[in-house]
Amino acid sequence: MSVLIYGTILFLFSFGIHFLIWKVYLPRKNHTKVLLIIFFGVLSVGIWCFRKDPAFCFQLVLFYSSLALAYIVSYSAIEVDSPSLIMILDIAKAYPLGLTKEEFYAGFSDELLVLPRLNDLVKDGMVVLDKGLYRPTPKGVLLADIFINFRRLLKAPKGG
Amino acid sequence: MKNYLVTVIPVIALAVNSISQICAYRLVSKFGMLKSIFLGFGVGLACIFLFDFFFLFLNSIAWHKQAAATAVHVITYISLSYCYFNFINLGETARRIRILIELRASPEGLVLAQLLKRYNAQEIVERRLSRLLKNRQVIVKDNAFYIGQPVLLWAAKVIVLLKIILLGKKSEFY
Repeated sequence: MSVLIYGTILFLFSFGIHFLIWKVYLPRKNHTKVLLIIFFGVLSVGIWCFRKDPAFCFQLVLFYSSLALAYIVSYSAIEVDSPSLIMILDIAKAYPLGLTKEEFYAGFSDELLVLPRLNDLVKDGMVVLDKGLYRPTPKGVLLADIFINFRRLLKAPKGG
Repeated sequence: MKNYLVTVIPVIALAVNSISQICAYRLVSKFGMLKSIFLGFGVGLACIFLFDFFFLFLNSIAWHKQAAATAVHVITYISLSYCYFNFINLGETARRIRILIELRASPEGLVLAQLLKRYNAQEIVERRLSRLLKNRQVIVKDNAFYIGQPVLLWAAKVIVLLKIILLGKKSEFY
């Protein structure tokens, strides 16, 4: 019972700190890194309080980490505008006349859909722009390889 | 030792989830990605209850302790499965991942025009529109698009609300 209660309280406390920091000073970049520091920093303090009971700490770490990772993974969906959701909202706004195909396609361009994500990759150190050429950094290569191999395992075609 | 083994039950269930999902997608042609994900999730969840039955219930632990332990396992498993679902989804739909894969395939590097020839707004829009039409989230009537089933519309509205609460704006572009 105490893992459930203590883990939930700790998670809600971390979320509260995250919310307060975001309201006082929204980080300009590396939101994911900051979230990891907040959530796992609070966890470190939390398990220090129970350091004499390693079995309990192990259960708490697993329970809390799963909640924290699920939230951090969801956060990136909140941070970035998903093209599917933009499409759905544009179509909903056009009710009751509907959105014609010409109007629909006019709203999307490489400048809106591709360039911001490419710039994010450069900002996050996954891609480098060198004399007009975009190349993945070792970090970018590692991430690309993880997904290439997983898609190969699934026998799934290219995504995007 | 038994305590530690009981604790990692959700992780074992996640491994079972992943293996089931991969096998279902690869081996059963009528299983699309989403169906295979649901199948994997269901198999992993069944494993949680099976493991808990053997480790907890057969050891005559008090019922409220059993219930709490199972609740922790189920919540942990759902959270981990959600992360796995997002990992699969990144491979399926994430633009950044596709851009990285295209650049990875061209070790000498690509200028912007070359990259956009391989992956561009047209492909992004067509893939998503095709998915929305297939899942009936969007319908076509008299050469215009309308909302069909509103599930994704509700999800979009919740995300916009969360953007306003957390980031103070509706969109990354303003």
